This record gives sequence, C-alpha cells and structure tokens, in this order.
Amino acid sequence: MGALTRLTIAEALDGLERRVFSAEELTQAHIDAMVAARSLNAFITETPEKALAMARLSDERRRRGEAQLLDGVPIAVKDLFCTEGVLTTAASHILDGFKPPYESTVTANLWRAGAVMLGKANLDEFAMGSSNVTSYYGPVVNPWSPGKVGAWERKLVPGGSSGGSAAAVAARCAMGATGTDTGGSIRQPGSFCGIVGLKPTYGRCSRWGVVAFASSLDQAGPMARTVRDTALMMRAMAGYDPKDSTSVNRPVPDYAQALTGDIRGLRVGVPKEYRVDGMSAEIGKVWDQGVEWLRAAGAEPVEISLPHTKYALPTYYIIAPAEASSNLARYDGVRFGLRVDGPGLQEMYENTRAAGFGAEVRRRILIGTYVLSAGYYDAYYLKAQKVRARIAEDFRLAFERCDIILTPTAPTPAFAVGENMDDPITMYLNDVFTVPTSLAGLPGLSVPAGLSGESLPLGLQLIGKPFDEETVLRVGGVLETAASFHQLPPCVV
Amino acid sequence: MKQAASFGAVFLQFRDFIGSTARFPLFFSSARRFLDDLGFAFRVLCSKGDGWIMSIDQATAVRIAHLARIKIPEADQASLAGELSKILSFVEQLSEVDTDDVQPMTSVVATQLRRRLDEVSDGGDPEPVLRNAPERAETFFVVPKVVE
Repeated sequence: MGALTRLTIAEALDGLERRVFSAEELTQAHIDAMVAARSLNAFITETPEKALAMARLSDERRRRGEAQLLDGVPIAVKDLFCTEGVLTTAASHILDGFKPPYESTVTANLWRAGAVMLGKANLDEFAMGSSNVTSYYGPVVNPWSPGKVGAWERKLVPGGSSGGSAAAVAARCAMGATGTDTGGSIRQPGSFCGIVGLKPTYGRCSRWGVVAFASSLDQAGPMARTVRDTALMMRAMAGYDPKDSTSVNRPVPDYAQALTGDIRGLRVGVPKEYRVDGMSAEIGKVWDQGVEWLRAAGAEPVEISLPHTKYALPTYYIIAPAEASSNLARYDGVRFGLRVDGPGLQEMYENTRAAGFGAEVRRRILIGTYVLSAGYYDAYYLKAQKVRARIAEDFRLAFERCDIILTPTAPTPAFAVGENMDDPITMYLNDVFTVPTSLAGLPGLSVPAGLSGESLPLGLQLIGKPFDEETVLRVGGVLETAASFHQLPPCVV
Repeated sequence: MKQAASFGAVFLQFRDFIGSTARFPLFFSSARRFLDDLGFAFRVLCSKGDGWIMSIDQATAVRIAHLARIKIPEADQASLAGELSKILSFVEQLSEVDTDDVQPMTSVVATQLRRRLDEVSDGGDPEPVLRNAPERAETFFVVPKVVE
C-alpha cells in the first residue's frame, strides 16, 4: 500500500478512474501513513471513520459515473476551518470541545468536489506564528528533520502557521491540505517542508467558517506536492460566496489548463530590496538559479524596485494584531469553548481569556488593543493603513514593468525547535518576503526549488497580479520542471 | 510639563475614586472606562507630539490587559510591559514614511460592499446555537450575576 501514498493527486485521480484501486484503498493507505507518522504531531484530530465513509461514497459515485473533480482524494484540513460536528480548535485551549454546527464554505466546496477528510491538521494557535510552536497541542516536527520517525536527531520546525498541513503533505500522510495565509502561513511552511503552497488573491476563496485572525489579510489556499495538484485543489476551493462580504464574484478558471509550460516573453520582476541582511547565501543562490531557469525557458528578467518593502513587517505587526484583538473578542467563555469561572462576569471573562490564550496570542491581542485604544488609533493603526497603501502601490507600479515577480519564500531553511524563540521580533522576520504580498492582497505561490547544504528544502515565491493565479501557476510549473525537486524527506525514505 | 504631570496625578486620583465607588457599579464602570480613555489620551499628549510612544510601563500594560479582558498575574506584568515595548519600538520606524497625501487602505480589492435584501435567511433554531455553551438554561446562555 506504500506506493499509493507516493502518488500525486493527478496520478491518483487517473488510477481511480481506471479502477486500479478504489478510493477506500487509497484512503486506508493514507490513514495507515497518518497513524505511522503520529510522532510528527501533524494532526490535532484524526477522523479515520469519517474518511472511510466518505471514501465509500466516493467509490459509489464513481461507479455511477458521477465522479467529481477531486473524487476520492484524501486530504488534511487545517484546524482553523470549521467542520460540522468535528472538533475545531484553532490549536487554542480557549476552543476546548468546540464542535461547529456548520461547515466552512471552502471545506464544503472540497467535499462537494469529492475530497475525503483524513483529519484536522495542527497549526500555530489562531494561526499566529511561523514555526508551529505556539499550538496548545504541541509543536509539529518537520518531516525533513534528520533521524528516524520518533527518534529524531534534531527536531526542526515545519514553519507556520499551517505547519501540520505542510508536514502531513510532505510526510505522505495526505495528498493535499488546506491552509490559510495571513502573512505567509501557507507559503513559508510550504518552503520549509518542500511542498507547493498557494495563497490566492484576497477575495478568491471564501473566509466564511474559517476562524478569523486578521480579516483584511486572511485567505485560504491549497497545499500539495505538485503545482498541478495545487491547481486542481484551487479550482475546487475557490468561488464566490454571498456569506463572505469580501468574496469576489468572478468565474473560477480551470487552473490546471493554465499549466502550458509556455512562458516565452513573460517579464519576470526581481525586486532589488529583497536582498536583505540575514538572508542565507544558499537562498540567494537558489534565487539566482530560479531567475536563470525562467530565462532559459524564454522569460525576460527585469530588475524592479519595491521601495517600501522594509516597512511591511512593522505595518503588518500593527494591522494584524489590531484586527486580531477585535476578532478574538468573541472568546468570552459564554457561548462556546473554555470557561473559567470568577465571582462576577468581568472576572469570568478575564480568567477565561487568561487561561485560554497562549503567550503569543495574548501578546498580539494586547498590542492590538493598545494600537486601537483612544489616543493611539491615528498614530499607529491609521498610519499603518497608509503605509499599507504605499506598499500596495509599489506592487501596482512594479506590475507596469513586469508580469510576475520572483523572490525567495523565506530568508532561511527550517530551523530547530527552540531557535528564534527568545525574541518575538526575530520570529517575525521569517515572514519578511511573504508579508508584503499579503498586505497588497496579491496571489503568492511557493515552489520547492532545491536543498540546502544540510539537505533542507528551499522554496521560491512567485507573486502575481490580482486574480492572475493562472500566470502564477504556469510559471510555477516551469520552475518545478526546471528544479526537478523529487527528493523525499528522510522519514519517508 | 510639570503642571501637566501634577494635573495628571489629580486626574488619576479622581479616576480611582470613581472606580472605587461601589454603588451604581454599572454606571460607574462605564464612567471609569471613559475616564481611563481620557487619561490615556492625556498621557499621550504629554509624551510626544506625534503620539508615538516607545515604551509601555507596567501600569499601562495592566490597563491594556484590562481593556482586553485578560488577567495578567502580577509576576508577569513587568516582563509583559517589556515585550510590548519591544514590539512598539520595532513598529516605530513607520514614522519615517511620508504618508501626507495617502488615503488609508481599508480594502484590498476596490469593490463596494454588497448589499443584500433585509430578510431572514437562517436562524430560529436555538439548539445548534446553544449546543457548545459552557452553561445554559432553557434557551439562554447563563453567565455570572451581573446586576445585584
């Protein structure tokens, strides 16, 4: 059965259609892999019975000739998506026991397309983090960590916040996964775990039923092992949703059709401001290599300038906590989740929220509360929104000179659990290349492009014009072919 | 500045007096909150013309934590103030950016918020809504006593 977990989604769909194996067999192989890889801590909740029931229904649909786009494909769901009747935690103590009475739009779209749910993937608490160490359910281990499953020589982080999703896909426990990205949470773990991750244009995937972090930035997207698989998942996930007021009503293209491999004449922007201090030399090399690969495929590299890049992180660390402090006000111990009693209502709120939120979430709520409080709103929040407009304008001007932008995804490969943890600012620097795209609302794709000297994956990021996921994926496909990244993490070999 | 500081001290005493008044707790708790905000704004004016403050003292950290309804044990208050100050001094570099003629970005995609018909499309079903409640009675959420 091992071979079934090595297939791509596209190959699996082909095998299912030719009746080489059933959805039930495919799902069982992935359940076995998920159980065998439990020491990764990639899942908060496993749903094997549900998965097998969904797989049997999928097999019946296929027998009737009614198979859908992703019929029978077992995937992991980041535990930030509400799933009806299935524990949804956002990796926080404060959502203890919460079983949503509704299903998020994106997961409902996936189930309608025939996908099978293996379980709920671990993440940073409320998606706040870049290493999956802030989860109440414990850190996730990167499958690329040296050593054997359960006997790691050194535990590396999978990135974050969609760390469980990335680890599950990289470890061949799931064929794909949903992620969410607020400042890099799909792309950076994709890079750290050697898989593909797409943050779509803001508004492309519905936010309805996704536990909110920073609503003007949050966007759901697919994570998979190939660009084609990512395109297939993307088509199922995207779409207009009247229940999300910022969902955009435009047709969903057949993204896989865009993977023509033809990028001749395309202008590829290379932003000079992204050569930051502290970027590893290996990352710089992979980036240069990426430019050469695209040139060899007929594209034309052009140097561009994104002058406000250095202000993206400070802008983000005002806007995201501000929105988070407002969104997370709903966790009050009254309607769902944890309650810690006190003599009065105020004390009950304060006790519940003190016990329910972890240190990083608390820190961000407090910063957000501070920058929104009377007397500070203009100085911090309004200023940050103005700088955000500047950052978005940088991209708009850059796209007058190029069709797509190529950058590294993260300034370093995966680091060890415990590193970068003393100072929140050091951790924030992980998102230096991904945050500007999020602030501008643009689509960003991370594609594995090579291995570091220590055999750790390095990703390259492609940034596109609004709603031009097709060009992003097409160029991603060319990078993928050129990089020919087929190495397996040591725990899979 | 000295006058401002002594006015500040009187103000804080007044605020604490109001805050400690046990009678009519509902009225005074909102009055206290209002005065808190006022005092906060006052301290901003005293600190620096443009409102940027690079460090948060322990009292301010405690006050923010109260606004956010998160209890912070006394032992953690000083280190929390330090962490928050660090983050604020990190974001302080934004003051370098010229944003004089820039409109604040309030939405990523230039669209107008849609309107929908003002009609009930869902609801009228308290059971699923209450299913996750830590405490309930009939079709109500139960909270600790609010009014004496």
